[in-house]
Amino acid sequence: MPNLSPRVNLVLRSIVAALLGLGSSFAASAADTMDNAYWNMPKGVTEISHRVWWLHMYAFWICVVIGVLVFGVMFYSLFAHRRSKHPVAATFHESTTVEIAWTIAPFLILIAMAVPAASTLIKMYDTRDSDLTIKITGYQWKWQYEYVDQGVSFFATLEPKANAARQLHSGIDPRTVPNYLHDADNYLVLPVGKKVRFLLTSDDVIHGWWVPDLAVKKDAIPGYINEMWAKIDEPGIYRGQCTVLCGRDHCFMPIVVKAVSEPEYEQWLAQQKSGSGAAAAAPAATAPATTEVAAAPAAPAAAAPAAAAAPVKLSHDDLVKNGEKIYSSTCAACHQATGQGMKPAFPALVGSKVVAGPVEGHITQILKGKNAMPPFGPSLSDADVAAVATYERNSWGNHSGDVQPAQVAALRGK
Amino acid sequence: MNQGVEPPQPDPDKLTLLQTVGSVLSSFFGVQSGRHRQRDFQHGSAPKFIAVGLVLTALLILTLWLVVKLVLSHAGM
Amino acid sequence: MAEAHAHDDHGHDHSHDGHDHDHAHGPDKGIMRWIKTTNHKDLGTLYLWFSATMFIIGGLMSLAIRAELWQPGMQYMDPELFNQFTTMHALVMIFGGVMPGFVGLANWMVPMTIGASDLALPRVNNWGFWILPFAFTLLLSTFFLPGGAPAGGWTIYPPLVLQTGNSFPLLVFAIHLMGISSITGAINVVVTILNMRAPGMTLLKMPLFAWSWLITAYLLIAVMPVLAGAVTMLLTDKYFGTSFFNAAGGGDPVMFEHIFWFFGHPEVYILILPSFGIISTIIPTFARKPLFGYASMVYAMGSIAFLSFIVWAHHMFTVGIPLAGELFFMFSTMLIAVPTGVKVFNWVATMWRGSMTYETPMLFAVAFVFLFSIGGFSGLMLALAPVDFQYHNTYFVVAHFHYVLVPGAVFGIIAGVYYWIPKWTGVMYNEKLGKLHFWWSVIWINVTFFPQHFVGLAGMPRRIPDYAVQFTDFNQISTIGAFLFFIGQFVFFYNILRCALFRKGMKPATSRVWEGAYGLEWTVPSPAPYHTFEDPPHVTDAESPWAAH
Repeated sequence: MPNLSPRVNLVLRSIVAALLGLGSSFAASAADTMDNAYWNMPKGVTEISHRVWWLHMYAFWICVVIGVLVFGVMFYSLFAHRRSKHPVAATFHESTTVEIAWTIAPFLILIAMAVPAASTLIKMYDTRDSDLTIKITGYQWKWQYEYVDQGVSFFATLEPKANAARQLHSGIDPRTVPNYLHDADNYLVLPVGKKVRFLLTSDDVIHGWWVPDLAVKKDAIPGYINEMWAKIDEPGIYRGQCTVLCGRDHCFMPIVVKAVSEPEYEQWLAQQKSGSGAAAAAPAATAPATTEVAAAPAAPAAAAPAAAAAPVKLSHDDLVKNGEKIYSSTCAACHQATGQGMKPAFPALVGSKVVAGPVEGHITQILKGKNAMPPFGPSLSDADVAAVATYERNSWGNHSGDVQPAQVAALRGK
Repeated sequence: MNQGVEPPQPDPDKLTLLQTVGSVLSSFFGVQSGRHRQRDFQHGSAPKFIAVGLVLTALLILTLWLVVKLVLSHAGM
Repeated sequence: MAEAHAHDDHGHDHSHDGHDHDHAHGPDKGIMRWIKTTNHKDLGTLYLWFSATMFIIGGLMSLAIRAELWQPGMQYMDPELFNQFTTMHALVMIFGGVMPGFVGLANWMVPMTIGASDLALPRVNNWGFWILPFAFTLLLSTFFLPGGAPAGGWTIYPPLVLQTGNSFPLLVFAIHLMGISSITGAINVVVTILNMRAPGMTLLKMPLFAWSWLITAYLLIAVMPVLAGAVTMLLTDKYFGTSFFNAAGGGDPVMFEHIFWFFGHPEVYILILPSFGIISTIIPTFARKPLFGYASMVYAMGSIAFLSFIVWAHHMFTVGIPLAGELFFMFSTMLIAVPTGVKVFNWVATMWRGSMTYETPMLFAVAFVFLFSIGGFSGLMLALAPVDFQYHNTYFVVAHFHYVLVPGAVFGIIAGVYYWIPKWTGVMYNEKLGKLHFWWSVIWINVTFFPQHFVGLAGMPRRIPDYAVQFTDFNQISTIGAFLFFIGQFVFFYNILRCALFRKGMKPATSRVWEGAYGLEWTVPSPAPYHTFEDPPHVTDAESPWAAH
């Protein structure tokens, strides 16, 4: 179909295939001509992902062959043994020999599938001798990445353009947003050719960390640390998202892995550690370890001015500016950009007793959470909490003063 | 289980243990001939089938577990 | 063998007890007939209409889901409401649509196929049914509560489900009620089949629909209490300070998944075994040839039921269970393919060299064999743990279980209704409309679910209200299919309603209805009298050709 656009071509073919119920075979034949990414499992960029892809196709073709044989016989029979052509039915209804034969045959086929599957699985579980370790923590609704023993740690959330477009009735066409829902404000930067071990856990509900190109998927479970690993062969950007239903914004927890050469990685890591460089703009971080990575070329969030490592007092404008950013990525999902919330599950912050009341109560609720609201103490720095509280206390008609990081620090752990 | 039909008299063709095991195994396998089925339902006893079934289920689980152990030791994990 | 006497007692029952007053009159008049009825046919009818209502409600939810997924971006609803729809769609379809549908068919047909006058426990039967409207009123009312309906997925994993607001206790209570209803129905089926078969109706002459339900009933009795226990623990975790599943309190969220799937996997077979029975009844009728491998069919169902208890963790390959566990559950899961394959081969062998005609029930049965097998193939692929890491929680899984449940379980129910409705109402359904319904359904169900394999493989997770732009095309195809499939079902409802309520002037059905049909249900007139087999029929080999040898 040379004159059709690939998209239309694909739509037409899939309708035809679905009508025939034979889509499986067409998927494979078309895989040669079409970009796999749209309808088949990606081959990926690790040795394991290649093996998994091979297993997938292997199992698929076995199913196709069995299907063609069995349904070939069935459809032949439906045609040839209809009453008009075959008026007198046979009467046989048993043959132990035949039945044993067609029980043993699938059994042997299953063994032929189980052997390579088991060997691949064993390889996937071998997390020994890793070169570096990343700890990944799931939160509602973002990821935290910690480079263990490197003192580098940051969060990754949905990038702001997509976050704006995905709001109900946003009026923004998601097609205009590059990598819609598959782009994060911060990327997990990894070196190629190194065995990277991931330690996966969660701070609240169960999440799932999945990057198809790495063939890595595991659940992030509170109280558990799961292990998996990947050794990436090619530099590039690999995208995924949360795969376990984790609440309202489950769909908006992208995962982006940026694989770079080893020197590039070392350079990037050094930048992160020193907290300098345009790529390491940390919005008002109090602890030096909590730097924010912005390797993403399309991450406007990183353009925020870097703040001093341990600010004593921040200006009202800085607090509000930073607070607005954190609010839109962290709080607006429930409390809404307008601060109106969504009654009754998510209370309004406009005229809220907590926001209008004493600073201490407000900070404590942000740090510790309440009911459906998760605690943000673990994921937000003192400066972040101060900023977002200040923003809330000075927006939508609220006027209840500023909050400084020191006040937050004083309440932490209480 | 097989109520009604058979008069409650001692059954000369009672299934041997081996026959019972064979029938349960073929049920695991999913294939059974009509003749044997007829024999099982007419001369077998339900409690025996259930007991043998439970034992064989345990054995199946054990076998699978041994296969897993074998695979793992082979892989050196 | 004490049962031999039990049977005589039972015959005795018939002549003296219980039914004397029923002989005097037919059903009550008006609404009280349906509320007070203990008649298996009335209750079967109630179950089936209840199921149909729930299919419509659950179907409307799926249309809301498909509408939101028409294109990327959030068009119609908040993500929270979307999650409520996916959660409730599953609960309503599984517990409100498919299960009561099967129980309805069991109510009607189990006594009639084994030559019993009714179910063994008619009052329990009434209770079991009338629990359901209350359970689902509770469940559906949560949409109108502050905070909305449960939105944590039908798998109700903690800790997420513990964030549910006011609807949480209603969810738990509704599940308890559904469980009670299912267990009463299951006990009734077991007791009836084991004690109330007509003389000569030995287990080995019993039709496969009764066999499939006997096995299903045992599965239900075994696992519904497990679900009840799981939700009760959730309830105490949320309101009474326990920490069964709370890691911070020393509990274990993964334990819930184990308990849930120990229920959940046998549940999967509860949702398909009765369809196996229906299909195994229909194919021989229209092939005019006895079922191939009757014994194997029974044994394969038993085998599937047994194995279903040792495969649950294949739903949890990504949870991080140890390698040994992963291998064990992978191997045991693959084993299930063997008896399932035996069933498919036997169906095909039954058709082989038969003399087939393609009335609507047969069309649905053939589609069942073909499309259920496609779901079986994707199931086999999913069983391979290392590849499952790529499939898990994607639309590939959604496609898989919808293939097994819609052209599987639901087509089974539809085929059964077409097959037996002349017996129930005494008139033939409209064959042209039946064929229209079949072709319409079989086309659009594939248009709906086949493309979901592709988006899943390409990386679209399940349970998301919005998606990356590259998934748009297949989602649009899927949405078109879903809407058209749904609309087509009203052809079916019209056809059935016509037979049930507007049968004046329609062609009466003969008592045999289908020339190739065997079984006791075809020895009574159509429509079946309000009371059948009050005097136990004499069972001959003529009505069970599968038992001939």
